[in-house]
Amino acid sequence: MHNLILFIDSAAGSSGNRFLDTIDQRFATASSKVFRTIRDLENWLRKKEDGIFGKRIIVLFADTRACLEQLETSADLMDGEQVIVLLPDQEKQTLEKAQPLRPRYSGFASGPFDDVCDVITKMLRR
Amino acid sequence: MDKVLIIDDDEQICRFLSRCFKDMDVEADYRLSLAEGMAQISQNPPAVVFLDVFLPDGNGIDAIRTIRKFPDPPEIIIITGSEDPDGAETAMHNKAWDYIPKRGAVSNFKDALNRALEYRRQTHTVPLPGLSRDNIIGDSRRLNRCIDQAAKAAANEVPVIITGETGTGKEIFSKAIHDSSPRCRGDFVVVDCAALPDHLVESTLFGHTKGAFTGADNAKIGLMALADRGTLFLDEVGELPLAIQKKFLRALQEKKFRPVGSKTEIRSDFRLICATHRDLSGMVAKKEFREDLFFRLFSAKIQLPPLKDRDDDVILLTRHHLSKKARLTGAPDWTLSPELGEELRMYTWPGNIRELINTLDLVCSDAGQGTTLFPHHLPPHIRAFNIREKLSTGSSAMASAPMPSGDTVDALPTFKAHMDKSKKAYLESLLTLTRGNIPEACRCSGLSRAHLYRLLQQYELK
Repeated sequence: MHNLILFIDSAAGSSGNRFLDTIDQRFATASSKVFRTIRDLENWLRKKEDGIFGKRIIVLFADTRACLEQLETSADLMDGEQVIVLLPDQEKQTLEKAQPLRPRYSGFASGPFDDVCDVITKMLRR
Repeated sequence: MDKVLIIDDDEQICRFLSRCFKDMDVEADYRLSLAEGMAQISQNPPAVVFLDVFLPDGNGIDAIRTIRKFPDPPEIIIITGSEDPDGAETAMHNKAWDYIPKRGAVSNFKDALNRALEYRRQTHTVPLPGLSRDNIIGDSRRLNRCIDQAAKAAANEVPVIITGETGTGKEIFSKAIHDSSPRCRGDFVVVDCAALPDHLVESTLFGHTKGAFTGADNAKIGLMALADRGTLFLDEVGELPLAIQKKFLRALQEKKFRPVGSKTEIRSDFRLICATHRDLSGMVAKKEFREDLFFRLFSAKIQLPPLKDRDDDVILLTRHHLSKKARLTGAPDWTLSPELGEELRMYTWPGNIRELINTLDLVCSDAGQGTTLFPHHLPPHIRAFNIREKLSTGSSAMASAPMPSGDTVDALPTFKAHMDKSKKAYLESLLTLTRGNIPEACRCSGLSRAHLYRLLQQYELK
């Protein structure tokens, strides 16, 4: 069984909600869990006590560089995880900041989210 | 002074070669049989061995593999009175340095020795850099061999391909090579070829300009450009679409490429590491993978072993993961019960390290507040597999074990006497196969040095 672990900061703009809606529509049957603060995500990554084991994809919605920088500090906790990031822009510096997370794909946080959904679909089929 | 050993049953040849090498500032010695030669290599390792093919107690070509297993093995030059193309080919496959007919000129022997010594001086004066192996846990022989290969790969720039089953740690090895290489200050950029739908591969790798295709609302930098002065890691390279392979090969050769929709080329100086669990040569045969790209990728190959073939690494990995987990969660250290250790050793781990780690997370979760982990915390499918394994091993052991002879119950020795005999036989084989090398015997048997010495004393073996 595959699981989608989503991080969308509670301070994320409207595109965060649009992304969540898109995921809900496209992956209605996948088991998913949403974290709204980095602390909650970190706590879950440390303990994983809620029975979510096995194959999972972690999707990180970082619509600001500040948010990305905070996620970068949690990179060690995501070692060995399948990570997808949505970034505020595709500038070289922004992409470089995302590299410690070793993302399988990086898309735009501003949408459209078709590319990210296509990647998730392919990863779920593995 | 460099040492040279000649192994040949013809003493005249031995003396002749020893005399030839005298003016070369080397210390030449000879042995007249393979067994004597092996003992000499083990006790007083030479830099180069001249090895005859037909020896009274064995074949020199067959012995190459054994000699190469010695720590710091010598270079081997085969000398023969009867030239045989097949034998020469086998010798080269087994990594002999040279193959020289005995009837050849003296200069042939001297030149070969000079070249072998020069090569050895070069390789031995440049120490191999260590591999940054923070995340590579284990001490098995097969893993250590891969670590040595990775350390060599880190020291140069050739493309590396890492193969192995899913979950064996291909990405961790790739990262370790990057971290230990001169490019460690650059980025380690991952391209997961298996995760990318075909229509996204090209733009992800090479980047695209704004408006290059429908949906390209913004320009995007490609991962190949991002890996400039760093390492590009192509995970599951076997999934790279055929249509992209040609463009990728060109970029690999020329270190420049054109983003989708762009008219100008971009340069990127990246080092390539690839990984796959698929048989790429088979894919080449089926025309599913380009042959030219295949040869380009196969400069250096590291084959990672499955977890089941890594001796006691499963326990080292378990302890490492449990202590890391305890540190992260602030929980007290978990204790691994010996019974659980046995179960973990017995299971075959088809999902390798990834499966082990997921299983340990489950085990800890199932243990709740308990700090000692027992077999009953394991997922049922693993327990069921192990039970079946125990039952079948038990019955086949009963059927095939060498049983003490005797037709009646009274003729049977006591259990202790039978076990003592088996243990002594095992220790004798161990000493023979490792040629009395105690560290090697400890590695093979899994016994500690102290335990091994105790047993040798107990069974009066030297």
